[in-house]
Amino acid sequence: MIGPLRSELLKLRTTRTTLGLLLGAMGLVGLTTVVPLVLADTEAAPDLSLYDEGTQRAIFLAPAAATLFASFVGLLSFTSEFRHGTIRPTFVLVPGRTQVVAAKLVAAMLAGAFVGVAAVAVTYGLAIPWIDAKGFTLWLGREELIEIAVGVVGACVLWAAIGLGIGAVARNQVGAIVAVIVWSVVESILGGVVPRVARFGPGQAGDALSGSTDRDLLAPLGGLAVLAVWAVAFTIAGVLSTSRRDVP
Amino acid sequence: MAAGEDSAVLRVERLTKRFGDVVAVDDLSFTVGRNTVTGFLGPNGAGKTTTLRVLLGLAAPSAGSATVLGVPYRRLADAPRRVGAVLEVTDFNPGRTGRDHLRTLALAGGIGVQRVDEVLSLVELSAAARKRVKGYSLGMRQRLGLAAALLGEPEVLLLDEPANGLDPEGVRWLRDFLREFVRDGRTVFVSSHVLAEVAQTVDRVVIINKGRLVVATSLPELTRGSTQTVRVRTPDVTRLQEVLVRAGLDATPLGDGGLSIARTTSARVGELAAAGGIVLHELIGEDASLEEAFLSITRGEEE
Repeated sequence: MIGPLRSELLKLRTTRTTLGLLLGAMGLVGLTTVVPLVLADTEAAPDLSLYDEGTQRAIFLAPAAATLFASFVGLLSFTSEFRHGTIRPTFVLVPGRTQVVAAKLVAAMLAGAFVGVAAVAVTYGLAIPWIDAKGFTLWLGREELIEIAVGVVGACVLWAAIGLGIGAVARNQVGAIVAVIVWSVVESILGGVVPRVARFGPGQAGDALSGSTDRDLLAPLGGLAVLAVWAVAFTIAGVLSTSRRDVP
Repeated sequence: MAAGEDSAVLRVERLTKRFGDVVAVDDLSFTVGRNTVTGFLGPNGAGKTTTLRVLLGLAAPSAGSATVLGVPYRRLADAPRRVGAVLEVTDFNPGRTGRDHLRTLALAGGIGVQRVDEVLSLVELSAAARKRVKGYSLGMRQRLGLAAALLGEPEVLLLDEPANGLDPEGVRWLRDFLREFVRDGRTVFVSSHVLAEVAQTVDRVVIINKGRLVVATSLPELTRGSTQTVRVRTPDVTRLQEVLVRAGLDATPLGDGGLSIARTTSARVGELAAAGGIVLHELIGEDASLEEAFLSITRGEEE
């Protein structure tokens, strides 16, 4: 198990894709953090003031966007091996396929955690000194900031596992990415129509875990539980798909 | 080992593999013995790659079985040190360097990373080791694939069309390498759709066509049993031709007292002449080349 896990971690480090996803996550999170910081208290955004608790909270939701990138890290773990054919030497060297899934799962969750930590660092590193420099009070207390950070990292870890399962089942890289994006759109539409149902979706459970205070969502711990169920379900699907289907 | 008494390294038994309605491998049986280089031959689409995939546990049989060292591959303990394989020459992430590709595989197989540099130098790729695979030529990719298969110093090597894309020098290098590989009791199973590529390397051949076994035999047997074009000279051309045609052979007069008889053996022509009491002045069997033998065997199957 240790060998395959070290192999998966090395695979993540030896292509530019992982770095690209990490930078993409940090770029998106950075942008959604910086734009309200810059616009607040200007004529361009009269409703936005760093004096308001609501504005500050909205800014600290920015890291939640990293969950999408964390899911891609997990997703690519299988799809890139199917795309490039490296799945063949991988399975020839490690004939026990569940072992391969387990190694990929742990590696993807670690990488997901890394993406989450980076996203939190970007937002906190920009927003906290900025609000302080402008002379405003930070409405979010130390405990709350820790709660959001832990929630974001947890959501990223679980979304990486979900991505891994989707990738293992879909195998096709473009198809899997499109499926994830389509689902997130569907889920947000459902959120508007039937919020009581949609909050049990993996996206909204992840948002709840990442500190969103939207009243329709579950509480953070409820989000954690629901997202964990999704992660387990996709992992089981991934294990079954990997061990039962032929490799091209 | 569980397969103590079983001398067969690879054993394919009544193997059938279907993909939907397509039967890729059809009731195929053969064995590959230890310490041989066995060529796995057949035209493109004959089912060679599918058979190799089933042997390596990548695809499950629809019926029958395929075992490696006595067990189905997915149950083989310590696989990296026992079996090495190259299936597709394109099985690399193009953005990864050759050396990193091998490092990921070595770690997965629990093989010391120092072995990576050994196999790189073995296949003469050390100079390009730190370049991304996307810049490799086809021949370099073939050698990188082979390096990956050799990581665990396996006792069995399975190669799918390893000579594809190699220049003549590369083919010679591969041939020498495989001969050297089996010297100390190891085994090679190598597929090709061109017999000439492996003719100088293999001891035995397993020929399949349309998913079925055509013949599994030693290389000398393959040509010995195969047909020839026979030329004879006789003072009595007309009578010999009569005798031969009556025996169902295709005999064409050459003028100057000679006959050319297609698709037969010199032994058969000699016997028929003797039975007819006909004097022969010359009897020459022109050995069909290996390639002709191969083609005639696979073509015969199609009819």
